Amino acid sequence: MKVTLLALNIIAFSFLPLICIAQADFRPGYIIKDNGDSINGFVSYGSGKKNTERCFYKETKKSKYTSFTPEEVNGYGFLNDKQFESWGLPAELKSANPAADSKPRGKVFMKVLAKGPISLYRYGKYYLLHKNGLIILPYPENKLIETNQGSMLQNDHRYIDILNTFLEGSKLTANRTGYDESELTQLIKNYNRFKGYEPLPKNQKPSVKLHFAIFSGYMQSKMKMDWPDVVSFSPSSTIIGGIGLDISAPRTNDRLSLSLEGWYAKIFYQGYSERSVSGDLFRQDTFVDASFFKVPVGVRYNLLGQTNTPYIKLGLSLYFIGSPSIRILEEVEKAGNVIITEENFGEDFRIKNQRGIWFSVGYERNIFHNLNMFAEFRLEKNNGFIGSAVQSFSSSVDYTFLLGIKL
Amino acid sequence: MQKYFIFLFSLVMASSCTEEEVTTRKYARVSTEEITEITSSGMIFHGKLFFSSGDIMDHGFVWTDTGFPTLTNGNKISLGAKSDLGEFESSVTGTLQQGKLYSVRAYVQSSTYTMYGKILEFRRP
Repeated sequence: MKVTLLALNIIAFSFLPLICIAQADFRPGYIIKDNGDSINGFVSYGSGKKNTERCFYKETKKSKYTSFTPEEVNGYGFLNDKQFESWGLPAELKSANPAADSKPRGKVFMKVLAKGPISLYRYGKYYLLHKNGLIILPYPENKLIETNQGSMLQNDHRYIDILNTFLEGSKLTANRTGYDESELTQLIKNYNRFKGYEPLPKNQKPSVKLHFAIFSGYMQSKMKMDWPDVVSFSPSSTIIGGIGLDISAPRTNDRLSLSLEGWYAKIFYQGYSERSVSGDLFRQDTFVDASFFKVPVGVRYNLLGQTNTPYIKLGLSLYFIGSPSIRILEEVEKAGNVIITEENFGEDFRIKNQRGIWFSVGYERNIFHNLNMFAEFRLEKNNGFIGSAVQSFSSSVDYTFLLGIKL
Repeated sequence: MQKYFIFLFSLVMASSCTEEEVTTRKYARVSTEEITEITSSGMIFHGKLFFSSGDIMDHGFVWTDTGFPTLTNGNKISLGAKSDLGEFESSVTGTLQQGKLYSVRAYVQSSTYTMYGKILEFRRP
């Protein structure tokens, strides 16, 4: 047991440096200088408020980063991905305080949603239009008002009125457009097309991306059985091996993916129990030897980006048990200090395919071209393979450390 | 990738060799092993002492045709005191009736306990 704990500690500490060197998600991109020149390099792929205040740029992946404020550069962007421009905040927004702090703001980075005769930008929860100048589309503040007929919801249409003014001369109307990024972007792109402006086709991210993985790991499993006797088994330690497939949809969300795995492992449990019946003391050693193929299915979320990132996973496991062998050695201590040994092979036990729920944390790092390496710690609780389809007589908790490579 | 897969497969297979751990008791533990060389003239009984509390005064085999052999109700082969763990055996000749069903088990006696292994059944051909 002590040796196992020591081994787990060594594994955990060897994993620690990997986590410690986790860094921001720098992706291929560019900055646009004051004179309009763009410089390629790598830009930190943040999200939310961070994107609007600063841009972190480095020339190469290994060089040190430089931080730029919206006053220092005209904008920044990522290859085939989002783009930000530096703009002075309209007076309404300075007082609206979208970033929920009281810092006075000059320029900020705004996300570019559409470019053309009319350009559309996003800053926080606000959308802004640019034709001859920058105009904010007021955030709809629907109000509950009291009338003779009772309470009524008064919808705020100010942003629609402004949009319709901009769309005059075209067949387009904003009457049914929500205050929403995709709806507003589509409307403005349609207007720009009507005006003869066709945006340059972007080399879009793939709609579906597959990553294959192969891994091995060290698993410690603790099983408990509560029928016919309560038996606590010694932890079973084993090496597992498996393959995995991550399916993501980068266009929708490049941090979330569906994870499918196939594992093979052999486990061996040994347990002890004793009970007293009519003055006789029954001592039982139970030995369970089983191999299984299991299919963990789950959802993975990358905390920083697509590579060089810590991640978390959550899912379910389906097990396919292959002919377990069960042996019970029973010793009965009778009056007069006579010990009688009996043996059976678990003929009374029913075997079922267990199911489990698991959670894991890991870190993935790029090691060569498209080849990544990952380390992961997983905790799983399952309903045991001894029991019937409707009743479970056993359960187990598994701790697994996985190490693998991914393409 | 292929090398990694072969290494991984070998590792999983190597780790699948598991061994039972003998749990301790305050008494010795004995098992009756498979009977060998069963012929019309006799056979060899096998037993194994796999845990000992130290003071084995006697060990051997008991057998009977009534189902549950003990030191008091059946035939006995005594092999005397035993100081080390491991297998022991003894051959039986002549005293068994042809075609009759017998039960046999190994036994071990200490100053305090009498321990019997599991029962095995056999017929003399």
